[in-house]
Amino acid sequence: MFQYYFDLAWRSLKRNKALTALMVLAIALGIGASITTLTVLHVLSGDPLPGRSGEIYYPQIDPQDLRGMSPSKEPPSQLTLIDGMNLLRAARADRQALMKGGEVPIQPEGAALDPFYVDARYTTADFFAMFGTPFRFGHGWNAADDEAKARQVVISRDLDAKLFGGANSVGRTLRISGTAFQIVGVLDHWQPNPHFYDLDTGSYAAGEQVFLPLQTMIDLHLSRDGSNDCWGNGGGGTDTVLPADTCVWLQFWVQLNSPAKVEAYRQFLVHYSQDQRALGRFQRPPNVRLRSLMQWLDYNGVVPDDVRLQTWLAFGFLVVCLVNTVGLMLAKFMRRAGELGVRRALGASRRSLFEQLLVEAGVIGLVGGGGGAVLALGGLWLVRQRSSDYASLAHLDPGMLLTTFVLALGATLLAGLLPAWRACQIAPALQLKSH
Amino acid sequence: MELRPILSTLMRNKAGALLIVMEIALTLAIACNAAFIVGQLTASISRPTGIDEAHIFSVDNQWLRQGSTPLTAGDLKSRLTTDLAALRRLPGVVDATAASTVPLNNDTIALDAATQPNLSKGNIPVLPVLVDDHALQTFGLKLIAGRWFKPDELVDANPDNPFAPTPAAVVTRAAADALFPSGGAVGKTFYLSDKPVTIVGEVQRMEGSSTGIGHVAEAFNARVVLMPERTLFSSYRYVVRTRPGRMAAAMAATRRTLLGISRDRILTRLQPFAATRADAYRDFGAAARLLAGISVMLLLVTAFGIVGLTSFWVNQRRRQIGIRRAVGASRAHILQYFQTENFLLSTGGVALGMALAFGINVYLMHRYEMARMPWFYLPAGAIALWLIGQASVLGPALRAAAVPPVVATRSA
Repeated sequence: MFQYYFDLAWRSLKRNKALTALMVLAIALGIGASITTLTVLHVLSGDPLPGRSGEIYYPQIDPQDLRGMSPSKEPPSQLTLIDGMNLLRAARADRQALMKGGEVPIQPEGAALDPFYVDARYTTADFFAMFGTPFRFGHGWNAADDEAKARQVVISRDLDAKLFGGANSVGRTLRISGTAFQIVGVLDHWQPNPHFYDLDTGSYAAGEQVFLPLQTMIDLHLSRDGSNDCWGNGGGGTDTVLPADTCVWLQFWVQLNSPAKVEAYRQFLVHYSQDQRALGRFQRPPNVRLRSLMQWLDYNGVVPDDVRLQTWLAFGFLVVCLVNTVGLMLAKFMRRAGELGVRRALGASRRSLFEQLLVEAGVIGLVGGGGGAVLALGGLWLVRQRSSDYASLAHLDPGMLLTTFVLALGATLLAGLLPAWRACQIAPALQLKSH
Repeated sequence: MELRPILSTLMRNKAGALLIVMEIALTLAIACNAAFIVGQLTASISRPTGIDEAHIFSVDNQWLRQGSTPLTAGDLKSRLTTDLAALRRLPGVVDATAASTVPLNNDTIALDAATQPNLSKGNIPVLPVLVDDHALQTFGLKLIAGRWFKPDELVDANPDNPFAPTPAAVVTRAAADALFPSGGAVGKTFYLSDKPVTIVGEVQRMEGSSTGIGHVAEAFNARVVLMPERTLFSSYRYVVRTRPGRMAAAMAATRRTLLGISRDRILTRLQPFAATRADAYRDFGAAARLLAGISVMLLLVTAFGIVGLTSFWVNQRRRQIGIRRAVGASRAHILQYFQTENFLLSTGGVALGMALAFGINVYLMHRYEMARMPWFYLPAGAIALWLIGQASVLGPALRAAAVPPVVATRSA
């Protein structure tokens, strides 16, 4: 029966090419625009560490003084150096890493390449294992290297390609900001999006090219960037001077493998805050948060406002296109009153007429969805021409392609409901009489 | 033209009529807001920065160090002085300065300014820019009150505390007006990070480095405080103003000269100011084009919808049209009938759409700090949709007018 309806639909659509083309075009434009913006939104709100993000948490504590305190206020979004080192050394989580972003000059050997700046991540040993970074050659450093302020560095695949032609560079020397570092590892391609572990250096920034121990950065006075919030008489600190003890500027991530451990860690943060208050360092009552990775992204609202605005706009456009399709479909179905009257008279139930008309609407939806997918590919190509951090990420994946057709089919069936219902109300006798 | 028969026909065709009204209303609401946003974006990204944009280029200079000890202030000062002297001697160069930042380069540092020290509320965020005594001529700023810095006012910046306020400053008119709304800012003292600063001069306009869009961000970016400090940091910018037509040669000479003096540095973003502006606003330009594109498609879809539905009505009523023609209606009457019908539908859609457009604008004002849409967008949109409606209905209506009276004598 379905195949018969499909055949009828196809014939009917071919009979009225202009009207069919108008409906398909309207659906294709609406779907194309919505899928383009929806894909951008989908890419931007994606999971940066699929399969792992559920175990990654971001602890927050409140070391500020009493000025401006209110019970509902969130604790600062980063840690002071003292608290960061304390929590790191307490090692109460399965894995933990303290980190900061920066920019360092790379001074290649020989005159073939001029010195250049790259983004750097200053962190601690667990970073690689906790975030599951893929290694092409070598491995990360260990906790002892952290304490020894080792001159060791892990570089990205891109930097390895630029400096060493993609060869295994483990064991070779790299001059960074006037100091010789030993390369211990080369990462494979790794660019989590959003750049979740430090949203202050760009939510969708390209990944860092070098990773080196945090303690080494402090020892060598390497330059930092990202955010730094101070209270009281805390100074910002520049290249040579670290931020004061009353400044929060470090990110701290932990891995907790079970819900029980998450609860235990929350308790640990409360106890830590109480201890620090007893010591006189903290003044506020414990105010801690322990958000999971995805909660942290949500809390920080990483998806840009203009992307949301565009998505709303595109869906507004889709609604207009659907209203338009309802009108055209109404015209098309009502014109066939005679034919439908004959089918009714020959014994077809209203229900089967309704089904037949909806199949016709569905065919329009599928064809429109195909057109919409093509338009979305074009739209995403246009989006990728933009300079923004996130623009280069906008691609149509199989999931979104499926969404395109589901959305097109669903929207057209919805649009077809009213016209099909109206057409089924036809009294067969009246139609037959007028012929 | 009698409206009664048209209205009663529409009442018999409620669903179709209502759909056209809704479509026109939604189109008007969305297109008006999109046009308003595009207009705002375009105005924002083309507003002048107050500097001589056509003849200025800049380059980011970052000093490298050999070994792990940072460069000393004395070292940085001698390097800065040597570089600037060399740049000012280059052919085609009007003047050169070293600045902590240039307009629109997205490298923003804000300080709190106030007319009293230690204010907990009511501080005005301003954008400090460190420059030397050549900056007035290099940027091509227009001094409207007071005086420019004397060479002996130039102090060495403290690398451990950059942007430490200087005793004297030149401010933009926007900053002066924000601090001293009653005017006469020159000679007055204000507090920057709680340190007293005397305003010695006022320039007409200079934008800061923020690239934000919207009235709050733009008002902030106009409040610039120029402080006479030597940029003794490992990273700052050289800004060069050239004579007309000499930009390209001067840029090449700048790279050659600076690297000739010392190779212990990294030069990046050596580019005319036009490129800095383009970088700053590429995203906004793309967003404006996207909005404009969607609006145009929206109007097209609406026009096609009207064509489609009216054609259907014309076909459906061929016999009635034939009867009307047979009993004496002229072609013009039939044409007028469909045009009036469309006008009625458009009017309903436009009325609903204007209300909806206003509602969307109010929502956007709350949600995204959008400005209020000026009233004339609504009537302009209404007229546009009336015209589109009339243009779309013309084809089907002409076909209706062409229906011969003899149709009346045939059975359907």
